[in-house]
Amino acid sequence: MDELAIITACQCGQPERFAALYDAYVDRIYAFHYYRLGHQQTAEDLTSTTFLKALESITTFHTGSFSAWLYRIARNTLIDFYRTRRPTLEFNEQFDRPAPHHPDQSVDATLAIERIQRFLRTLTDDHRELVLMRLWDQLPFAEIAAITGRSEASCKMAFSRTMAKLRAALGSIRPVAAG
Amino acid sequence: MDPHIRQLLEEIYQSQPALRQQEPQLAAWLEQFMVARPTVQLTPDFRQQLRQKLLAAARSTSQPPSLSTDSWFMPKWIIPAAATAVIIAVAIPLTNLLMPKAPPTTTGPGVTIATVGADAFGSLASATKQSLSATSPTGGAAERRSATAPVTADDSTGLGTGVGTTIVEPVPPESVKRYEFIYDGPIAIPDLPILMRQATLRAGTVTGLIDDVGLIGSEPFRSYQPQYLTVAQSVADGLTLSIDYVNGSISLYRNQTVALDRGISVGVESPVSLEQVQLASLPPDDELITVANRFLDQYGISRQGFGQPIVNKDFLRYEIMAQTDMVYAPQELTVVYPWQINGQPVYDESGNRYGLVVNVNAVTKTVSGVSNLVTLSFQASDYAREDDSDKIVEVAKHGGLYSYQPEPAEGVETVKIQLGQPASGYMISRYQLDQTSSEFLVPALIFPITSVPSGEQLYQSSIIVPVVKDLLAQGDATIKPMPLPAEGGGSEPSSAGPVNAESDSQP
Repeated sequence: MDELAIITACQCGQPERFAALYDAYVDRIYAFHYYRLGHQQTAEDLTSTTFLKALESITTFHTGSFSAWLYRIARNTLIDFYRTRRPTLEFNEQFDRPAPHHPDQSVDATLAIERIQRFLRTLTDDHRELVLMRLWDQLPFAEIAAITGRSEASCKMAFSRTMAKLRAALGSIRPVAAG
Repeated sequence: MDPHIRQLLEEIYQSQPALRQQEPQLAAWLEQFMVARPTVQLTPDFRQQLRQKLLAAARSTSQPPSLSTDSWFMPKWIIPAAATAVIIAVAIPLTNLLMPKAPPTTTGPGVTIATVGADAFGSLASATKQSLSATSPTGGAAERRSATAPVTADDSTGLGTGVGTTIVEPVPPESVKRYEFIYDGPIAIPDLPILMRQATLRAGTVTGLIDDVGLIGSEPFRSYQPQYLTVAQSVADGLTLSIDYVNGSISLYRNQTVALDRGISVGVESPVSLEQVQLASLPPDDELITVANRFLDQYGISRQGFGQPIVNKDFLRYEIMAQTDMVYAPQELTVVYPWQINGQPVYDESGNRYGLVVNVNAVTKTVSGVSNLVTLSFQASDYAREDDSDKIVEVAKHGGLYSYQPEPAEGVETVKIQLGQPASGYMISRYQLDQTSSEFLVPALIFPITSVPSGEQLYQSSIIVPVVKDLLAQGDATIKPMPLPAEGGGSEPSSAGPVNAESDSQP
């Protein structure tokens, strides 16, 4: 998909071409919201808002990564939601919930997940956001930098330090097969 | 090992090489992180519904604005409540949005476009270019000019540059900079008709008003039409309404005397200076827009047919560029409801959004005036599009069709400014054709200025280039600097400089 060509077309009177961008990104943007909210309906609402804002603002996109631009809208939408709709909740409240337990998941794995959630709660919002963007959203550091307004080097450094902290705080673990 | 985990580890080692010795444990924790990632499953129904919703919204942006459009393009102050609003918005207008629309000459409440034959307006290139507010007594507030351009010959009216005064080109070379606006990316040239605004307002007879005066019989004037009408409230905080039937515009202003009194001692708890106020004390944009919206609603002025309102913060550009320690803001701030005509945003010749203007007093939080409330009826005529991208980029390089840039010369410093990818829109200009002055919306590309070198006082945010072959074929239409009177007077006109497209309108 030639994103630039589609964006140019959207900006030049063919906004219906935006559907191709939606198809390419809707799963990722929904996941972004769901990872942080853990609530299907709210994640859907914020996904809607994110794409409607993006369509409305597509003429303002000029250069750089469209992905980063879209995630930035998603992030701002989430922040707006927390500020205006859920002022009593903390960012990433998702991690205050019990760890999900899957039938095929070992007790060790469940405990490990709970330890990770506890660890995430100890992080600052900035560091937690960084970890989630890199590990769960699987965004490259260049995009994380563009989304958060930090430098790429700063993001890399903060992530590595957080991982070192994780290793020190959580100690040993028996390797568990992912999935 | 999962390649993603491998990549993560290598990234970590770049900053924390000592952790390489603990790779098994670190890798295990990273794997656990991935296991802890919630399972995400987007439902097909939601995916499809949102896709349809976006397509409907996209159609309504490429079509003329309609009542349902506003359900999607909400002002920012509503967006925080969007999670609920979106659901409601889907339920109400979705059916309507998805209905195929007849090929319309009507583009929404108050906006009509009637198609006429090709080249119906004649050659704009050979028409007399006028200032946008040149013939409108109620205009002026809506007009903005390029802050980067120097004062031009067009501005010399009334400044003593008539016959008998020698005019010389200013521009001391040692102090001059010329900007070159660089763009080297792709261009999608819009294919849009030129629109001419039909200005005349409907007007009734005036016999009743004449009868009320009682000094002259009204019957002989039965067929007469009003050209201008001004009515005013004679109360505190009263409004004055001016209707310009000829140019199809309305303005509404708070009585100036009362406003001044109010500013000093009336209507607010503490005396308010009418001078500039501190930036920090300005209300947020949302609040200013809310005040403006409420006023428009109160006076029955439709907000349909406009894009999302914008608070004009041009003053900030000036202050920040000037690197002043104290940034002040004007007490009167302007909220612009930008035109969205034929699915396209409309800009003035300086690349600023153009539309209905509402002035809001930032201290009293009241509306002090509404201007550029005009008829939005247009005739549309197809003109040959300029398909030569290089030519468009070349015009952009000089700052647009009507921009002034000094020629390269010794002592003239050239500063290169990078432009971003252009978007389509309309440029509004006024031309006089056959003794009739009209506003035209000309298809254009708007190049955003993406970066300004440090220290440069460039106050423009974009460069606008019309994409009509006729206009670009006219050659150099740039505006020359305003001539200054020379010491001792004289009678020789300036012979230097390019042909001035606006000079024909000079007295």
